[in-house]
Amino acid sequence: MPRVPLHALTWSREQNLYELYTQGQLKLRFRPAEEAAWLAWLGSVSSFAFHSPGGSLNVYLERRPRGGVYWYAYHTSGGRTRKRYLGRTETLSLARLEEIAQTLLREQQPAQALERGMLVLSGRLAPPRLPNALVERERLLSALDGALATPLTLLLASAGWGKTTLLSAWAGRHTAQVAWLSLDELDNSPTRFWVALIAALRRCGGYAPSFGQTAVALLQSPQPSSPSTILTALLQELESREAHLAPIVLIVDDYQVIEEQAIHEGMSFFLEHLPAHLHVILSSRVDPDLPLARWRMRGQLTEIRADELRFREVEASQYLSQMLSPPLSEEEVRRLVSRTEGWIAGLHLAALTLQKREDRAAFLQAFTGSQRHLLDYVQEEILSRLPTSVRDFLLHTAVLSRLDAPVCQAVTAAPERRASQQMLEWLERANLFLVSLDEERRSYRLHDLFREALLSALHTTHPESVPVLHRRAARFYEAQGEWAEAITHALQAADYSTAANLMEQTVEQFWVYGEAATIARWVLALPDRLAREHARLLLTTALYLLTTVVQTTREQRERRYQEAQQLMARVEAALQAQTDETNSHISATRADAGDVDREAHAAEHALLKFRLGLLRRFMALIEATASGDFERLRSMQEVIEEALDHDEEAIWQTVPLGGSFTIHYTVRREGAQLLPRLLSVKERVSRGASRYASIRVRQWLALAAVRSGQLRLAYEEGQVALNLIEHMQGFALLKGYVQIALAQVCYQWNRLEEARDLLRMVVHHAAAWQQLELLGWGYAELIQVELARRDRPAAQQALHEVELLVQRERFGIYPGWLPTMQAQWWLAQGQLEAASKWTASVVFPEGAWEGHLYGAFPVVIRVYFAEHRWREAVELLDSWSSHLDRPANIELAILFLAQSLVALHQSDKNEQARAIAARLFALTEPEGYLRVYLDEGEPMRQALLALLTSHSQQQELAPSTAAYVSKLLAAFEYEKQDASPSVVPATTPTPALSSARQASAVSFVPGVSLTRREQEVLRLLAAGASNQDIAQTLVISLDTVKKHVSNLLGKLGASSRTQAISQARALSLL
Amino acid sequence: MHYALRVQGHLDPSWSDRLGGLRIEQQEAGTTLLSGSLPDQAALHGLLLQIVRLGLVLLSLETSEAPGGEEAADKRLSSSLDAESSRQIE
Repeated sequence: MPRVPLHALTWSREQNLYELYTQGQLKLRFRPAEEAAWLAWLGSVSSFAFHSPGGSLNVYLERRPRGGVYWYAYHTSGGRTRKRYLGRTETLSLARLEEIAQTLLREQQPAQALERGMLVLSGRLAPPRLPNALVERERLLSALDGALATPLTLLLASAGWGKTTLLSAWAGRHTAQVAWLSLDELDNSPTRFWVALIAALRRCGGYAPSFGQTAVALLQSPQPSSPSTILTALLQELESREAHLAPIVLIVDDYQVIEEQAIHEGMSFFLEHLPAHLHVILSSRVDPDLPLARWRMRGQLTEIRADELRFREVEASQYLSQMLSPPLSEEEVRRLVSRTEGWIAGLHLAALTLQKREDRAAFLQAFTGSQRHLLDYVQEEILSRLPTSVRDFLLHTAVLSRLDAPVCQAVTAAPERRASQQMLEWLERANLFLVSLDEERRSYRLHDLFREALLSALHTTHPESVPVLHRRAARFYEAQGEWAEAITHALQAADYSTAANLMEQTVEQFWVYGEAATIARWVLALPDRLAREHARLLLTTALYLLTTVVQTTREQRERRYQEAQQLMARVEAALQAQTDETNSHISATRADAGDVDREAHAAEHALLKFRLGLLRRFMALIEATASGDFERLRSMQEVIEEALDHDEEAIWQTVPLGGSFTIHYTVRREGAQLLPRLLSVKERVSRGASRYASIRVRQWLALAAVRSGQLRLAYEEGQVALNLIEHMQGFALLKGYVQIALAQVCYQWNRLEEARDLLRMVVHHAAAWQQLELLGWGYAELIQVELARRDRPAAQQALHEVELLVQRERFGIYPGWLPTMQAQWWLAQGQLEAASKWTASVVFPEGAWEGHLYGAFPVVIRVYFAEHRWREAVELLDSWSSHLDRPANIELAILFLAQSLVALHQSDKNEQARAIAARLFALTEPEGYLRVYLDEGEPMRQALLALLTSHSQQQELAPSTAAYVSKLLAAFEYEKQDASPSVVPATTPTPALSSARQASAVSFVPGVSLTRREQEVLRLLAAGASNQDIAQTLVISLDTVKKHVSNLLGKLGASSRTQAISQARALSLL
Repeated sequence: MHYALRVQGHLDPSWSDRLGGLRIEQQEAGTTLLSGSLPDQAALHGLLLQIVRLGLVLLSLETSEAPGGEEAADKRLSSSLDAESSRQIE
């Protein structure tokens, strides 16, 4: 819950001033010009709400960890809170508040802006437009037709050999079956690469628009799955469409930009497992790092290389005649071809140069006679002959990898966008190596060679303008929310502080979309001297890198650890340097003026040291968790919990909090004691900017709340977490654990259908996303639900799935649980002998229990119950009460109490039973537990019936408790009567309220007033008692019972007992 | 480490900035010699990638240890070359 400020400052339109309301009372008025009054008031408060015409804020005065007290603004919308620094009291004007309120309102959707940035630009998903001067080279086009004969075709030649043009021409003839992807440097991240590839496949029409959804969700996640998992999901989806599809050719252009090893590995895997209907054509300037030799040997590879791409004389002549008129002579063409060696870029350059020349013959003579590199003609022969405006435009926009009118306008600082568009179109018509990427002629790309030549000219003639141009580009992309482009240009501008600031703003979002490694690469590109100033960014990036490895292999973890350690080492070096410097500084001057500064520095220094230490502990924690080393985890508890409450920032809190959660919840099977801390952290993080932290804390909260028996809280927090996750695509993988907590609550409320639906979703997604731990857990919970629903085939199916999982994955955790699940199944089947045999094999040790023993214990007791070994059950429960009846695990304690109640009642230890029941009801009634009773079956029903009907004055149950017990008995009755699970009564989410209402409602229901006796009879009827039962229980004659029953039917207007009961329920008499 | 790379064709000295800052020397055989020191393997790889990007034909690559004394000689050589190339440009 966000705090609600005491004061509210609201703009009054009529009065043109701000009105201050304190607790709803109008207290003061501020005119915007009256600074003094405003500042005086501001100095006296620490928080207020601000409502200006431009937007609303909550404003708080906060103490910074580095010292100083500052105002901060918070703005919440769509479940997300943003925070802005406002400054000191002296400088906080109303105008500043208005300005911030407006900016925050404008920035309402930065997440979407990033999502847009993550979308694959449509220009990259279609072949570029064909150039004006085009030669259709049939021999090569038919060679490409042969691509369908092998899974992979490679087009290998360095720049300027016409690879892209050939592929575009071929794609133009096969539009229906081609998926196209042009790569660029930013694709050096597995997430970007595969998302782009999936986008390309989606575009080609052969697949549904939702194609690859699972893989995209797996990729764009803060904790991406392993590449083989993702690609397997993708391949399975491709495979499933195979039968009814025409072959599809996926063309990936410019594969040479890929340097990331993980992508090559993924691509190898993908190509090795390509379904038969899919063919891939890769174009690259260098032989890609793929197992080409093996594929060549198996005949799975078609290669087209520079030799074949060479323009022959006929082709060259055809080409040149389109560029030049009058055409060249055969001899001239022959000489050009020999000079350029059929290199189309060279022919193109020669043609451009010739276009401008009067004295063709002389030029040709010089051109073909010289050794000069063809690229050098760009500068002298082509650029120098262009009008200055065109030349400058080309030189300036060469810093861009993608051109469109808006960015060109920004970079050239031109007053008009239209001029840029016209310039682009003119350049394309003039064949100046500008390739249009879409039919609308909106975005373009300069041919790389030409661009390189332009850059060389730019660096030689105007070196000073290079950083300026990049900075303009960075600013443009920043305003567009295209963060990756903005950051790379800022880095190229050597404008490191802008780059670092941009990274600081977006690091979390990049990480959320599976791009932690990309941001780490950029952060490492920052020079060492900035390591001190941006130490927090470096460490936060390391933290994000580490959180990505939870579900990956040991090798991947190692790789990430190394990267994280690289970042950490930089910060350590910077800190060391600073310490040395400060020491010498202090000894040199003993000035007092710097004291405050020094203090702030010391605090910051300590914080960074702390975070460094925490990162190291985090790595140890990840390793221990990954290897299921519970001993190690137990031993780490102290060092992890030491770090709690040490750091204000939400994302840093999640590290010790997550560690502590694992240790308590998973290792020690506790969790209730986490609740107060989680509640207070939740309050803090929901005001912060980290959605991840907010969701994670709620996830832990929901699970810990179930452990502490607080079903209502668990339900509420679980719902909020699910809502938050729904809004953030990238967080889909966090959903499963929240759904488990919700399913556990629904189970206890006997809302079995809901619980089953939730768990089916859990196992479905966990299977698709290979979240194995979650998968096992989901099935384990599902078995309980199906058994409660008495759907034995479904329970058996779930049990079978767990068995398979244990066999296949050799799980660290589940093997211990499996026999217990098996025993539950035997019990449900009535195979008492097998279950009994199992109980004999379960040993409960004196020391700490392994997790699965806590699951086995209640099942052992249930087997005893089935065998009527009540006394032994009492003894066993009694001897382990210290393990089971602990405040740290109320969930378990409730189960323990419920079973104790049964065992004691059945052993006629009524006093003890009553005492236990009092505790049990106190825990379960307010939270509306049903299942913990129903699961014990008939023996529990008898115990409850006895409690309800006991007659001594002191033992009378409180009315609300009596109503609760009646309700429980009614639930038993329904279970017994009707095997169809849909009519099993479920508690509402607010059972405590409704039971309270029921208790008092008896005398208030209009038209129906029941005597006390009639109420008792009704309650027993609802509990399934026969007339005989009622007579015995109430010690009255059978005839009297009949009379009461018939009166009841009359008053309720019912014709049968069943109808009477449902009528009574409808009137809240039960 | 000192490097000497030969590529096909005559390359203008103005490319130096885009080619690891190496000296650019046009040779009689119709080839260009790129030479000078590079700090490490990463710089060499960057240079090779740029050669790939430009589609230059690489003919040979030689390395030699640059001893301390040679560094100064390198500088002298490079400044005299610079003077020469600037004359050429004029």
